[in-house]
Amino acid sequence: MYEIPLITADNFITYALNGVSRGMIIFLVASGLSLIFGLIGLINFAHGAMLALGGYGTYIVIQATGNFWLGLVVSVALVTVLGFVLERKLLYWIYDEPLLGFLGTFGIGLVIEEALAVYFGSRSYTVPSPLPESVQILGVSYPSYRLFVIAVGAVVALGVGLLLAKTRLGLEIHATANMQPTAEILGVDTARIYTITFVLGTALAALAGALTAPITSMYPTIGLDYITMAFLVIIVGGMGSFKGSFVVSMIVGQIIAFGWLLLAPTYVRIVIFAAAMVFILYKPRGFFGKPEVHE
Amino acid sequence: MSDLLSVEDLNAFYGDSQVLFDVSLEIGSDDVVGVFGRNGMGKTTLLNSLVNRIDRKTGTVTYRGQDVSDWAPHEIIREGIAYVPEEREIYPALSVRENLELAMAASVSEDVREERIQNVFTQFERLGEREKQRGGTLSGGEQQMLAIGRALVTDPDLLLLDEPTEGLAPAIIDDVVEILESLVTGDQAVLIVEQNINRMLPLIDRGYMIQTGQIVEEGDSEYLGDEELQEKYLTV
Repeated sequence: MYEIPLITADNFITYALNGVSRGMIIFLVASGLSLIFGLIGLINFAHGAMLALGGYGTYIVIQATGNFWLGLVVSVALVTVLGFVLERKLLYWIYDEPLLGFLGTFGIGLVIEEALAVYFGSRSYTVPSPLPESVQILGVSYPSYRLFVIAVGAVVALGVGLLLAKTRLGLEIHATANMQPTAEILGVDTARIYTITFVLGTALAALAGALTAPITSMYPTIGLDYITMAFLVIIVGGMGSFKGSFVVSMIVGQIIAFGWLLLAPTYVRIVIFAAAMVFILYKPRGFFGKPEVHE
Repeated sequence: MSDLLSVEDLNAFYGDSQVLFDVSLEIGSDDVVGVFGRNGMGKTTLLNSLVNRIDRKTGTVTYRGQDVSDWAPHEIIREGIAYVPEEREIYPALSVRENLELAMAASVSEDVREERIQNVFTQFERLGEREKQRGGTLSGGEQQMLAIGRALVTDPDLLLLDEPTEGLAPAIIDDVVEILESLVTGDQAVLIVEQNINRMLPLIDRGYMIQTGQIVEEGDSEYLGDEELQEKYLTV
């Protein structure tokens, strides 16, 4: 019979921190997905593949140079450039056709995942932690790298939040997302805003992939697992709500961290999705979704 | 050809439906021009066509000697045209100030931005009092002031006004007409499309009548004020 581990004050903090670091990775994926959906209305099924590319790119650079940090920077930069090329050369032309957008991004995702499977095979790869030591925090010894992931997630959340709320670019993103034709007659280059937002969203997915590489093993369809959780997060958080994505990512991270004490990972996912379905029945617009009121 | 805006043989389409037929008109750099017609005759489509906010069009739009027929809307706007749409299209979740900020190009210096915003607040005191209030909470008249203010902060050479009195209470219409009176004495050209011809005639230098997408009459205020003409083209 499966024995439930005893939760002590020490391992409670460890599990909670694990939940925060996992939640940060989910948030990076979900916030990119949410930005792209919120602005362009595109459900980007290639988002998970961008995460996988970020992870595998990091792995390749580590194999060549042994330097994780270089791998992180190079893979995020290259996937960001790929996102730019995809948006300009393909997706830009099909924004007005939601079905084509769905099929296009789904196809791009499949091609990337199959290419990874052909090149790397279906076995899992792991990347050594670049910060193998632990540090004392809140009275427990905790891996430095996971704290680094938490810090990066917090900085990104703050940075993107400020970008959206306090800058000229944020104002133009809001204007384009809410009334694109109006933004155009106010002089906003909305095609440029679409590109910037798609590229930013892609960069966040690649960053999530690179950061997660030393924590979990990588396989070609790793993005699928994250993207389904990210979809759940943006639906429960409220479509297009950056704040909602953050809050729900943190909650899901905690449920996973503590859920694994009681249940196998598959069952934890089932519980999360069932809870989300019940929540959506009760509150269809999610935590921070806007009501459909035409002012 | 006019020194500011010249439209030649403009045909405009929404999907397969043609809305404008061979429309030609001219606007000089200090002209105040009106286009009048019943609902559904193509007035709004005409303005949308000038800034390329339309599915498809043929013909030529020349602005300051440049053929802008195929330019993106934002590129035409940044050349010095400001558009006040019929529905006002105020961003409901943005404050009055943010709505004004958005309309100004990023390249405009901080000092100039502030000066222009303060000028709008001087001209429309109610907007100044509601600087931090969300656009969606303003009354219809205040939203119209904000829509006009949003155009003025760009310091335009040509102001396009789509039915500025549409949907407003009579008392508010008086306020808006008063604002328009001050605008038409300014140094920018103005193109107003309206149904409410009698309130606009004192403001314009000349105008056009439009019917089923075609310019059918052209003349000064006196000519367009003719009752028979108005009966023919404006009475429902």
